[in-house]
Amino acid sequence: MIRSLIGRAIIPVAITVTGFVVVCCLLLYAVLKNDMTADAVSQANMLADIVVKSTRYAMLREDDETLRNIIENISTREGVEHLRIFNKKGLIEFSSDKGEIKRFVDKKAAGCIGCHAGPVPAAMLGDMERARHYVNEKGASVIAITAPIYNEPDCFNASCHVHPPTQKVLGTLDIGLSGKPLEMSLSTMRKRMAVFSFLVLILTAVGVTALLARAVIGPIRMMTAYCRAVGRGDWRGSFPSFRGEIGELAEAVRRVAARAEESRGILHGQEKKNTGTEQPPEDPEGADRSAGTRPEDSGSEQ
Amino acid sequence: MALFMAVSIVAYDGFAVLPDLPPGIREMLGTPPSAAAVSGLLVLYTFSALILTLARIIGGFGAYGGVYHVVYLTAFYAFYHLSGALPDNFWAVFVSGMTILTLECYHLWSWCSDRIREERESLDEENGQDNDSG
Repeated sequence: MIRSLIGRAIIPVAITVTGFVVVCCLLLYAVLKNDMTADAVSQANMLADIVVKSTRYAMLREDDETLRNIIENISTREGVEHLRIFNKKGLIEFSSDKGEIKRFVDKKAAGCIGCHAGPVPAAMLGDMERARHYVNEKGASVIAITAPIYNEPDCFNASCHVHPPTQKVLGTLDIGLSGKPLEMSLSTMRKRMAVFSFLVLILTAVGVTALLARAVIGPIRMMTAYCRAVGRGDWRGSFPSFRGEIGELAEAVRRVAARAEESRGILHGQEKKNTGTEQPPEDPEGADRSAGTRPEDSGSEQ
Repeated sequence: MALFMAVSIVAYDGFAVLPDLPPGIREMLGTPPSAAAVSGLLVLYTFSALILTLARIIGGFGAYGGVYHVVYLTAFYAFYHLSGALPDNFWAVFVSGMTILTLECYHLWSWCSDRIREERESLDEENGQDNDSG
């Protein structure tokens, strides 16, 4: 296969086309993955902002029970992995997981280090910096958003509150959403791209084989059969005509065959003269073979 | 091919075996190119490298450009690493390198096979002439 004409044509073409398509698919996948992750983070950010807005009135009134109910109701929704609110010091005040209430969050954890990397915590973060993508202890993929709860005029002007106007961040809402839908979409896309690349490989191999078989291998086989027949002394077969380079090769073979037939006739004539009889040669095949395969030898004998 | 595999193994770990660039040098190098720009260049490079290798196959030239390709591909790994997009784009560079180097190897193998066949034929002819004269 590797030394045949088809093999030598298919291998470079299949490597080139399939390799290039796979590279393009992988780069496209990386771009689409980034875009889809950015979309998922944008949706999660919007949800986090909605939760902050919906808990705002309860926070202003210091209505802990309403806040707790809101957190519990939202966390029962499918796809919400966790929901917690912690204060500026990192003490968890409200959480969907009751076991972690009144515990401190780790400031060096993935969701906190974005703000707390330097000596002074950052007060403002972009959408992507607020997000983190990790696998939780249950083995589930989670896209989590840490949304700061900012100090606003309503907060520091309220009669019941003690926040000074200089305090920029009052606390943080941390919501974790399941990354399973995103993972499933990416997995489906990967499979489709793999199937597409495989189809390109098959189509390339079959296409090159079909074209070569039709345009090159078929004519070469017919010429080979004709030449073999001439070699055996069978001059009755008609020579097929082709176009292009194969046609030129066929024309050259046809001329060689015609020349060999002429030489064969001359040889017969000389043999008749030499023997002086009208009998045909006893071994015509041997004579034909010598005339057909070595026309230049017979020419030199003349 | 072996050199490229070795570079890929190092790149797969995010060049963890190499020391981090000092902040001064990083600052001197400036802002790294965006991952999208590097990806565009990678597509262009892969396309032109394949076309050039195919042109050499058609022309029957025996030159091997595999070492240069390893240098270019290592540069792509480095650019992706500096722009922080190597984990997402590692396999694209790897497949690109494997495709180009496999085609280069096939070209070299095919060219060498043809030259060996020609050499054998000429040796057979010489032997035949020697036998005839003997």
